[in-house]
Amino acid sequence: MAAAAVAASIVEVAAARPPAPFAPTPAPEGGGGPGALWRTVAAAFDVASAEREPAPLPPVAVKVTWKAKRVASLDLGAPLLALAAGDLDGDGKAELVALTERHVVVLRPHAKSLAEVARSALPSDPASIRPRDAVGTLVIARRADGPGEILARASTRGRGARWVLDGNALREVGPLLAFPLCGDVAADLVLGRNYFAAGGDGKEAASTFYGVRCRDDVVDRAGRGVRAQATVETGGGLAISLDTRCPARDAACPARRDLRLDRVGVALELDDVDRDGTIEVIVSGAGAPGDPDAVVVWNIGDAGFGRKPVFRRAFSGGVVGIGSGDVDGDGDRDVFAAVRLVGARKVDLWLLN
Amino acid sequence: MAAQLIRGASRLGLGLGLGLGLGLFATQVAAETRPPYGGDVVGTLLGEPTAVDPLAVRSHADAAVVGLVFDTLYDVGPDGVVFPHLAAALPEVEQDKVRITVRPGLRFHDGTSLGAADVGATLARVRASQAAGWLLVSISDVAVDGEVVVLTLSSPRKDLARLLATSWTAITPRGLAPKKDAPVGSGPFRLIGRKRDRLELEAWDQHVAGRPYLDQLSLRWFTDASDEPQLYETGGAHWSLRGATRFAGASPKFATTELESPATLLVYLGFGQAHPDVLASHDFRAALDAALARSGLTTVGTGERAVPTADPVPVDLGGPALAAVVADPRLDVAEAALARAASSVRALAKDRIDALVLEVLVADSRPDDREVAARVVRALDKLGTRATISAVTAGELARRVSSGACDLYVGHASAELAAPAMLYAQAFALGGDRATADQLAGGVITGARMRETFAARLPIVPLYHRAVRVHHRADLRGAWFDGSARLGVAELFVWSPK
Repeated sequence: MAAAAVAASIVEVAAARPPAPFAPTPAPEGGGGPGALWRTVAAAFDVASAEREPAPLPPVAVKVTWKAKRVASLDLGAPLLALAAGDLDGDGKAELVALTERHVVVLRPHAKSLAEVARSALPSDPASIRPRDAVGTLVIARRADGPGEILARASTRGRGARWVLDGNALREVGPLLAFPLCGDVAADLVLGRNYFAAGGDGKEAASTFYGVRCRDDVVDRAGRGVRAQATVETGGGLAISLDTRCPARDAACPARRDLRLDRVGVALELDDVDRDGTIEVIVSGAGAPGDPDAVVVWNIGDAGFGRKPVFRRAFSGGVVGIGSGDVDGDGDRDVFAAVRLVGARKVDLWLLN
Repeated sequence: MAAQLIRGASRLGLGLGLGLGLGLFATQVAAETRPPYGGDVVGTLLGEPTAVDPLAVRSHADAAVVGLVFDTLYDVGPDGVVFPHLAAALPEVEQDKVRITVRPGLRFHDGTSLGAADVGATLARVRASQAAGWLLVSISDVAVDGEVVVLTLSSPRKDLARLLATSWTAITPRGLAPKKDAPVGSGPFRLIGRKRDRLELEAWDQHVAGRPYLDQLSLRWFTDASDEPQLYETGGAHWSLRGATRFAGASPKFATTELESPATLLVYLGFGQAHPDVLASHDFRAALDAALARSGLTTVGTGERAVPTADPVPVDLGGPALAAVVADPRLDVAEAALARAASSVRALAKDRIDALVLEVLVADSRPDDREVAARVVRALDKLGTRATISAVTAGELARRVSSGACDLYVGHASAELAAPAMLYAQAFALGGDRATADQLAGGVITGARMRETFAARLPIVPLYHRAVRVHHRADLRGAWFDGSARLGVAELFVWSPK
């Protein structure tokens, strides 16, 4: 595999790492040779400590009833491009974040609906050559020093940005040149086109894809961390990889599993919604823009995908974004789908569970 | 992490690894899945385009082709809102100066860069042109400051971005007239060939608004009205602007969808100078105007909406509906006007008018216009004048019209500007009255005086506003019309259910 070619098109960005679980080792100045040796050993301990994260706890299953309910109908001021959920203020509740062609918008529960709490215009830098249909990617990344930050870029602008939520205002904290795909992966669109490309050299063509969704906070029933990554290929296929952080002596641990779904749309989400240690894949359909759409929930069990989806709900509009997080703070994951008619600024937000 | 992404996908057999205004019925796209790229499509135009030069746009077909090959500083979205296209932002106005920054990284089809110098030179060419200079009558100077074009206004202009979104202001390299058979633009398609009955175009990868979804485009025109629907019916074309089948009751080979634009395309009667004393007479024009049976024009064409009119402003853009009394011939009014004309034009006198033979020119690639011309001939007959119809190529029509070497002609004018003042100005420009066009475009003539001035001079005789109706294969998606009834070809994509 041409690693160089990959690096040219996909950028690995600085990973946001949670803080080490142990306090720094005391290492006072002085003490001559023994003191220097102590400081060296202490530093080594600290490095080792930073590498070690607290052992995850197996999840406790909750009952989930899948039933779509429209909770909000909002005019976002511009067509919606992407949706994600994550805790932006450290209160343990997730905010819902919408990326439009012009703005980043933060939404929170209000009464029985959702209401806008913060909005920031996208960077004004003009895009030189952009795809004919607007493309946007949105990630909420965990930060080492606190709540999450928003990484977003829309093809309608020459660059993207990172934002944090300061009270009820979004504050831009840095530029983004590439499109964020996951917290630590970004890519560039193929010039003037609506997809990304990776790989490719003189002998083989590059693979092309519409987007990537990642989830790295899932814990399986054995208490092992799982990273899930789903890639929507331009042909409508969805390639999913599950990487389990296997303990050294766990021979039965499946380090990696690859799965596929077909006829999948651009909007998708990964999450362990029912907290049973397996991942739900929530996808839109691969219909043409303007056609009726659907949200379909699949569960990845030990044997792969089940024969039937867990849930399916058809919509007369197109599903433009799906986001999952504990938005109301009740300990359960809330899955939202944004549905709209093509080109419209108004979206309906549906709570699916 | 990225490498894992790539390797994993590769194992999965992915090959090399992954890591509303008047613009109607837009299907701008954002999700579900996205429009795919690819496909060679055969489409049609509403007639033969003449020259691929923005300044020479005189028909719907001309405007359609110029819109595919060239770009403007601004564009108008499906919702009717103007947005920056080659420009990086809307114009920055400070007193009498307007600064327009050009986007970075733009390229013409030949690979050369497109910058402010090209824009400045183009706008200077438009200002100096006889055909389109009225558009920029409020601009007294064009200068270039780095990548910024600086315009000096002689009077405030709120619609400047809208003016700079019209076909006539499309940007050419160094502001020069494009080569006839090898025009270099920056638009979504590159012209790669011209044959007797078609243009061949290819997608431009580096278009500012994104590569078109289609790879190749063949745009055809026809001299026989039934050829276009027949080609479509048998699967030889992806869309038709003249119906889906040759005969009623038949079915096209492929599943078909239809879409109709607003009725904003003006079909008018223009005047040449072959018989200058007759044709320049306002009273003669008024007589002909009154003798026309406009109500019958609703049946011209192949079922698209046709709205008879006596005004350049379409009803769909707020123009006046045709009064019932004007819809049918008013022979008393016509005879009175003809009598006035005869008092100053000897050839129109009762004892000589039967010796007058006028020629009505039509483009042979716009078959509907022959039917319109036949109605004009009937109106002339009511006045006692004989007339003939000559169908010529669009190029010949354009040449004879621009040189004045004709009597009457049936012309088409797209409503690229929705403001009544600009539509009246366009009518006067088409009629060769540039001074009045400038006054209207510059805001010197406003309000009710616009219509009075038009009625008093009749630079052209409006006949009807028509819609453009497209029948297209159901697997050709993304169709929409802009406010001037142009099909959004760059947004079309082929959708094949998997």
